[in-house]
Amino acid sequence: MEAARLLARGQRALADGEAHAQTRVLNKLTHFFHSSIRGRLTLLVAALTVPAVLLVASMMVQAYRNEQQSTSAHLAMTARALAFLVDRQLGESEALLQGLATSQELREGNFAGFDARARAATLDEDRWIVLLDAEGQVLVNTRLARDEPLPKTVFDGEPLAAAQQGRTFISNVEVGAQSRLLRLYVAYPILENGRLKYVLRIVMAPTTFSQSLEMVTIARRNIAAVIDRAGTLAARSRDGQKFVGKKATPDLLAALNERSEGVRESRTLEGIPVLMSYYRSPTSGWTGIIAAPREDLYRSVQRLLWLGLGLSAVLILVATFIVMWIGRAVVHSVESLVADTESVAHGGTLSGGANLLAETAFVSRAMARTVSQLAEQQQANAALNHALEKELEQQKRAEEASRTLAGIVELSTDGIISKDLDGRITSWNQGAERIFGFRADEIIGQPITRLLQPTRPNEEPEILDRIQRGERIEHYETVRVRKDGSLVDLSLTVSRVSDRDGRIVGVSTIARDISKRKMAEQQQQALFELVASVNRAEALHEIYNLALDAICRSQSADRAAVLVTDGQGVMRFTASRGLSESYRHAVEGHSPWDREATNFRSLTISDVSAASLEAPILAAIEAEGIAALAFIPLMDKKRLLGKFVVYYNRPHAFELHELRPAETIASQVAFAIERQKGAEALEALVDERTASLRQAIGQMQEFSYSVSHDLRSPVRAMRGYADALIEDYGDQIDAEGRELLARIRRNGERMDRLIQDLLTYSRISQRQLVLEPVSLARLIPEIVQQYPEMQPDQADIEIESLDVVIAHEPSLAQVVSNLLANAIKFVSPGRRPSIRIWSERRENRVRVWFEDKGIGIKPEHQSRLFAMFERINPDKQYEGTGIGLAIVRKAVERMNGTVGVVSDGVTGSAFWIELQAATP
Amino acid sequence: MSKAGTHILVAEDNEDDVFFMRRAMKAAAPDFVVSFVNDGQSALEFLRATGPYQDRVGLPLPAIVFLDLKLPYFHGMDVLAEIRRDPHLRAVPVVILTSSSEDHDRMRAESLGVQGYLVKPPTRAMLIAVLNTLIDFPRADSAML
Repeated sequence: MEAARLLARGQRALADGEAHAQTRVLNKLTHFFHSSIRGRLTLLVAALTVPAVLLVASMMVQAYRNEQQSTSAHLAMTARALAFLVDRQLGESEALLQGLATSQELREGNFAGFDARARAATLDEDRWIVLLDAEGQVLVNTRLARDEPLPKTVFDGEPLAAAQQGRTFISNVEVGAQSRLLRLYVAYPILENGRLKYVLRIVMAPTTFSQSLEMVTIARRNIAAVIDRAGTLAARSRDGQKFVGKKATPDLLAALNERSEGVRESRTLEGIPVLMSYYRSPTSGWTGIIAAPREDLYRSVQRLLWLGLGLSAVLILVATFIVMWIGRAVVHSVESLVADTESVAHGGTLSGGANLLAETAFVSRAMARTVSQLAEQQQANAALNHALEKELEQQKRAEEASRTLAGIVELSTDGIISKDLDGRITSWNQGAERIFGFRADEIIGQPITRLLQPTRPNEEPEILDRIQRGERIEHYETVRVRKDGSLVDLSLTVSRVSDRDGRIVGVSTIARDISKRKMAEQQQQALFELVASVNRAEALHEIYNLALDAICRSQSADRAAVLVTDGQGVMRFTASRGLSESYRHAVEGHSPWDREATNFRSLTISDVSAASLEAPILAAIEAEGIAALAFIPLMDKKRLLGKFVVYYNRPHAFELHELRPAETIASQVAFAIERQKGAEALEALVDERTASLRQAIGQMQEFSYSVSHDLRSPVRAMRGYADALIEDYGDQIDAEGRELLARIRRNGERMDRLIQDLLTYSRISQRQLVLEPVSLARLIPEIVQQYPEMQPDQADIEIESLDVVIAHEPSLAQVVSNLLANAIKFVSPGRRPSIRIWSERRENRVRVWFEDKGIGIKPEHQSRLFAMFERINPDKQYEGTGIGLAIVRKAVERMNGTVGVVSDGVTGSAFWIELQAATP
Repeated sequence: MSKAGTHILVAEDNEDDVFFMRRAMKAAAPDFVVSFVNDGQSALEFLRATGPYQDRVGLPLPAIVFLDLKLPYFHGMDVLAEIRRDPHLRAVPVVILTSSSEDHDRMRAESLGVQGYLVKPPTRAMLIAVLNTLIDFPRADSAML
């Protein structure tokens, strides 16, 4: 009982839970559709699309019905036609039987004759004639052979009754007693005096109906069938052999029982769903059936269906998109409004034109106006607040100012001192105590002159004067005296102290200790000067001394020394300031660094007495009166070249980076040392190379001279042998042989000339020339004299006024004869050489011209003219070695002269040489 | 002094030059007796009739010595110096055989005293000119041509 109740309650609870969940979902949905824009838009779209979809569906149903109706009508008509065709075929058989019944042979009982007539009348194999008597004895059978025995058949029931009444009888489809084949027959009774005498049958196979079936099933996939009165299939258009003789479907038989004709949806014997039409002939009781596969009916409808579905889908998609689009625009606008609102709420500004929709933009503008009004109001409030705060602040500041000022003054690192107009100190802060060494209680009330340097007694009164005139003094750099008497560099800023009425009552001075800055400036200056001097210095010792001075200055050291590593790796004093000979001797060779180290740092000993040093070294240092010292390495590329040492007579607390200036100087000096060494090495190298080059040149000259010289001998020998051959055997050699010998000789001569020219060139290049005055007026006629081809019978040589030049006579003679030889040689064939020679003064130089009327040199060739082996004219008739003008240039240049040519390349050339004039 | 059998010494090591000398000499003075030595040492020994030339029987001092400067072992210049130092030989005329008219040894040779130069290879005409100058040699030009 209890359990059942619990169960019932559980079930109820479950049902309630389910109902509750459903309600919740429903509520959500209702909320969505009711309260959101997107929900409502969805509803709108649904309201539009659902009827459209329904319309499409109903159209499709209608289309299907139409198709079905038209097909049904068609099928009914066809079924009826089929029944009629069957009836007509059976009628034809009856007519044939009626004809045979009246035959004379039958009347006379001549069965053999009747048999022949019947066989003749039979149309085809599938139909034959059978004659029975009233008892069923077969009298004639046209299917059998004539002499075959004829059986007696069973003849009773309906066939007999119909026969006795004289009615034509159409059988159902049955299996033949003998043939065991399916057959049917039409029976026609023959009566004599009202009594049955014979029955004439036409028997046929069901295939008889196949033609009729074909007529009604053309061009469709429809199935046609014929069934007999008993419901047995007599013929079928598809798979006839399989189904003929079988009963029709129960569905069809039931329908036939109700009505003799109709159309219905059914299935065939194979089970194919079809639309089936049947018609039972009232005459024969046989039924014609046409069945159309429903599939065919649907095909067109199916096409419509797809179209409809596609359209619906597109419609829904478009609708959904529109919903999204509008929804987004609206939501965006709303969000933007919300953002603006929030921004305003947090004191920000409006985004302005971000709204997408006119309606929201309108709202936004309204908001903007409101916001600006709000902002104005706020500003007004803020101004008010500010004014109030300021007033408060001023009050507070006024209170604090006096308190703070006192603190600041006291704690400042600058010395802040005030004095009255009489120059007595009235206030003294901690900064002043640090700078000057006086405590406040020691100095207050004392005259300010306590701090002044005796050498500058007028400074303070002057400052006071200027202040009283209303000036303000800033960054005034001066020197003051500490309590211990030492000097300190200060920068002063002085201003007046006034009472409430603005009258001057005293002077306030802010003093800043600038001794560090001064020191840095001094160091920098020392460095600059050093770098400049090092670059100017020529010898290393000069650099060492400059560096020592600079180091003493920059480090404020009392003494200093530079030690440089010698060839044995021992550091030796190279230059020093203020060190005794004995001290230098005692400490030389000691290094504070490990010799194997690769990184050397500056080392300091702040207080010698506190340092752990070797006893002899310590003794030497103390004897020298040194209290503190620092070592600065001289390094080049991690190699220790030496060191600087700075010495202090009193203990010296080295500050961080204090040795920087010295290190910089050390690097400069190291660089200078290396540079100097490099320069010396370079110089030695240059000297060595120059010497070896000179030697090489000398050897080369010697070599080329002797080579040229030795080359001449075989050439001359060849020439000599050729001559000897011509002389001794000339009469035995024919003309061609002699010509060949002459060629050998000519080539020998040419080679000899070439070698000779080379020798000349080489001699001109290397021989020592002693330049002295040479008279051209004497030299040139002498040279002309020597050449037969320059004599008046062969050439016109005109010599005009000539100067005296500074030259080496043999070389000048070579130059002149080469130029004259060229002038004679390079003339057109058959022309008489014509040469004009003169000189002209050009300041302290003389230019000698050799002008000919030869073939000239084209301007484009003139630049190559004086080069070795350059032959401008390839013409055979102007044979040459190509060395002549090279010799000219070489010789003239060696006599400090220049050479050139002027020619248009047509009317001859004018060569000139320019040499120093002998007279100024 | 011109006569058949006049003795001439040629100190020359170059075969070609020896050939040309011999040929030119034959053409210029076919009846002269010409001796050839091919180094400086031999030249001096020949002149002094020492060493292999001890039995230089019947041959007087050469009427002229043709001396090549570039001789092996004992340079021509040294031979010349030796001849000029030797009182017995001092009078013998020496003609330098040179390959170049601008030979820079010529300067030194000049200072030691030479009677002439012959630029190699010598020809008949050159020899006739030299012989004419140094010994009473008949002007052979007409005779030969």
